Amino acid sequence: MHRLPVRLRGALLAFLAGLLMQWGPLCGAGESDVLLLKPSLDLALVPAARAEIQPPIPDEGLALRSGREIAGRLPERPSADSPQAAAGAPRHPDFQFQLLTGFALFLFATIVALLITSLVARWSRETAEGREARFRKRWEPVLYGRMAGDPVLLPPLARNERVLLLKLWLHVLGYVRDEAIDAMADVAKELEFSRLALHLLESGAPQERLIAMRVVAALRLKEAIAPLQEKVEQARPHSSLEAANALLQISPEHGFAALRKLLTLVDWAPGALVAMLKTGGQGATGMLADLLATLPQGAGAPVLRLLALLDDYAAVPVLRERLRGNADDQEISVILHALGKLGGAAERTAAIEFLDHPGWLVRMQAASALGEVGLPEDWERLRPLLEDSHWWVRYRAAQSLLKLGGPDAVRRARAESSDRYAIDMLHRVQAE
Amino acid sequence: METFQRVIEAFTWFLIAYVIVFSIGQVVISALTYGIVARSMQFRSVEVAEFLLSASEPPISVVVPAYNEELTIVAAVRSILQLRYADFEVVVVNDGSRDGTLAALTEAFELEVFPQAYHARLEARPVRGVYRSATNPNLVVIDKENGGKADAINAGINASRYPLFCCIDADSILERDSLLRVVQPFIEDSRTVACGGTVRLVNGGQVRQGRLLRVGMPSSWLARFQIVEYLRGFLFGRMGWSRPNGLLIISGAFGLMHKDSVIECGGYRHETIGEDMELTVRMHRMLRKRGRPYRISYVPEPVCWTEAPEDWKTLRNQRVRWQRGLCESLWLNRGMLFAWPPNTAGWVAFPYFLLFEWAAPLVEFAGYLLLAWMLLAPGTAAQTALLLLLVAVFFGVMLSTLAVLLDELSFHVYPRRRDLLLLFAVGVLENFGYRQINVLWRVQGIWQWMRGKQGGWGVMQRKGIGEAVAKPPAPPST
Repeated sequence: MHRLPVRLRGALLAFLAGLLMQWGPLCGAGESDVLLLKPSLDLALVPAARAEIQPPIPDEGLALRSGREIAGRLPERPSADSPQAAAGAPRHPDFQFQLLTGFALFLFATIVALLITSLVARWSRETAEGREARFRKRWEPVLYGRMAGDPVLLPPLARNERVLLLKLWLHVLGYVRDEAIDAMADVAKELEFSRLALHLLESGAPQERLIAMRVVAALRLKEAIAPLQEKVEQARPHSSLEAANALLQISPEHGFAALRKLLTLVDWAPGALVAMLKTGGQGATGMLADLLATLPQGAGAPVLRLLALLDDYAAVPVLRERLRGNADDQEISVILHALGKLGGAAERTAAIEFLDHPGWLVRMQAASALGEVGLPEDWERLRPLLEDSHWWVRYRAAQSLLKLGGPDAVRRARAESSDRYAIDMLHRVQAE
Repeated sequence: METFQRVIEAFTWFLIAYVIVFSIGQVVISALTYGIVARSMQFRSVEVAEFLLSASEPPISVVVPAYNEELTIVAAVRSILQLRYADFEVVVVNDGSRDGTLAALTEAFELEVFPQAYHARLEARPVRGVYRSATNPNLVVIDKENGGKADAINAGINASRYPLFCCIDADSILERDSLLRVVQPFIEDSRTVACGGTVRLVNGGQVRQGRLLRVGMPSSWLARFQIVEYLRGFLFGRMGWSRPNGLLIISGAFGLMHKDSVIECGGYRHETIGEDMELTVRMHRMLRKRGRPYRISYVPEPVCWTEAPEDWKTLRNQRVRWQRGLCESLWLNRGMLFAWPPNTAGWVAFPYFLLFEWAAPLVEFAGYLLLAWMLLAPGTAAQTALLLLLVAVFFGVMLSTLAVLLDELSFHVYPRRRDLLLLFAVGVLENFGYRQINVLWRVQGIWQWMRGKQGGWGVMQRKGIGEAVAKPPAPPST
């Protein structure tokens, strides 16, 4: 566990050292300084450059010169121990050349550092994978033995293996039932998982926090309620949903409260929320109904969607109430959809009422709902919608006609109709 | 002569400044990319909770435009039908293929004529027939007159039923969880209108029945060069831009889009060959102009595998087309440049693409000419020229090495150590010849765009992904 960061740090230090060595020319240090630091590298990289690293030539300015031209006019290069050199040799005036040399060296050092970092990363990963494989080989038989009721002694657990064990324990727990669950709980107790999970929940890395949430949920740990509530309020998609899910398992009351807060904060995957609400058992519909009552018209569509997805008939009176006098197209269409799924004959009037609504979403859901709760005599009410300007309204109307009248009635309607769009749509739903 | 010398010197300075600014840009994008990858990796080590993969994700229509794809289409559709997603349909659009694409589909999936009530919301060439599979009810095939890829996708959108559509190339292989991954930004942020995913090369891998069984290194050097290019292009060129909402390309090989937003922006444009990039840039332009809050996102996980050309002719055609597509996309949406109110796409990403994508081949080409002149003409600085070349080569190698490192730190797709070393070697070798040829092709692309050459479907010589693309790689070295 501790060897990996040390090696990575080593690679990073090598990288930084390379950078520092190459910054010289770019920051104003002379070429001679660079040569003193890395003579071999300089020679290897730019053999021609050595010829140019000489004292300045008067009046040359920044103009480009050929190496031959310069070499012909250059004074003798002073030796490294000459008085001239000791006094600080004059620097080369060709800033362009210096800049390029510095940049090339910088890039070279960066490449070498990146290469080393990659190789170290690969080696570290392979080491970590090997360690995990050895750990699993050691611990899996122990956990399976405990599940079978054998009094297997738990092997010593290194500090850097604790998270690995939590992961393995959760993995095994996913496949066991009844007494085996108790055996796994004993293991958790023996190894003080609760203390470790609470610690990780507070100060672990993000992935460790997720593992900890699952562990405290599996252990139904009441002490975790406060930190989990805190995580929910942070409103981060993965961890907030995990935290809410854990809360629901530990205490449905706290879980519903957390979800209620979450619903007002963000508009997340309804499917994920519904799946969680269902794990919380009874009370989800009540919580959503209470929440809906606090929301103004136009802001309730996400909650209404959840009510529809819960498939709970207890939601029908709430939906009816919300529909009364509602002027928001989004909400009306969601309610009609839900009433079509959950309601009975009493919802027929509402569906008929909205068949000629100006909003196409509402018309579509009304046609769809009427197919579910309507009567055969509603056939004629639906037929005009086959000529609606919106494709989805025509489609849902045709589907409802098929439900209410059956294939023969649809075939007849096709033969009688003169509208191309209506004929196409009836043909399609028949074929489906 | 003195003036000429001054011009040459000024250009040399320009080249140095260009490389330095480009380097800074790349460092910033790399940092952004690393942030995204690191966040993704944090959750990758923990198994995804089942409740996050519930059956109530928004349904998706997968649109597969196909033209002369007889060899690959069946495997591709099989691969798509095996995707792990609750509710999706597959709409294959046969764009007037002259080979047996439709016949292959009919035979493999028992297609039957289906009386589709066609919902023409986008302009497209006439539909000749609609078919549905007797064995897979969620597979629909649209047979239409030839009109190009953009036209085929528009027809697919018209035939699709769901609010999100995913456009993929017929020669692609998808990861089983690709739709689940790419739909996440739509779930997490309701402003999301499009999301792309990382496309990797399947060459050298082992493929069976439309599924990638093992990733491997191809034996062809041409394919190896492209592997490093894809790593650079997808890891740096795109992902980093998604964070500040400046992503200008959602690849046509794999991208999930919000259908109504695409229709609102007019769908795919027929007159461009870079229809994927053009649509993305246009969505930025139009949605910003209308004051619509929006996000164009990217998921870092490798979600799609595609076959790279392994012959020079096909590769040349592809690169020329890509550059033309880039030129067309930027030109057609030039109104976005520094448009008010400021946003990342118009004020940072667009100028960056102009400078370092559109103009890069021209600058590099001019750099090579300058280099040749400096080396050959008497009285010039040959050393400076060689140093300039060295900087250019080192710069290219550094970008490739950075891309390989980033991949190693995140997805480490290539499991063998030998592959890793080979990738580094490829990153060095591509700078000697391959890169220069690419520059020539891209300059040719710019030339064709300036002449206003019209596009069509690109022709690709394939080995076929329905079979093993290359020899199965040896077991991992120890």
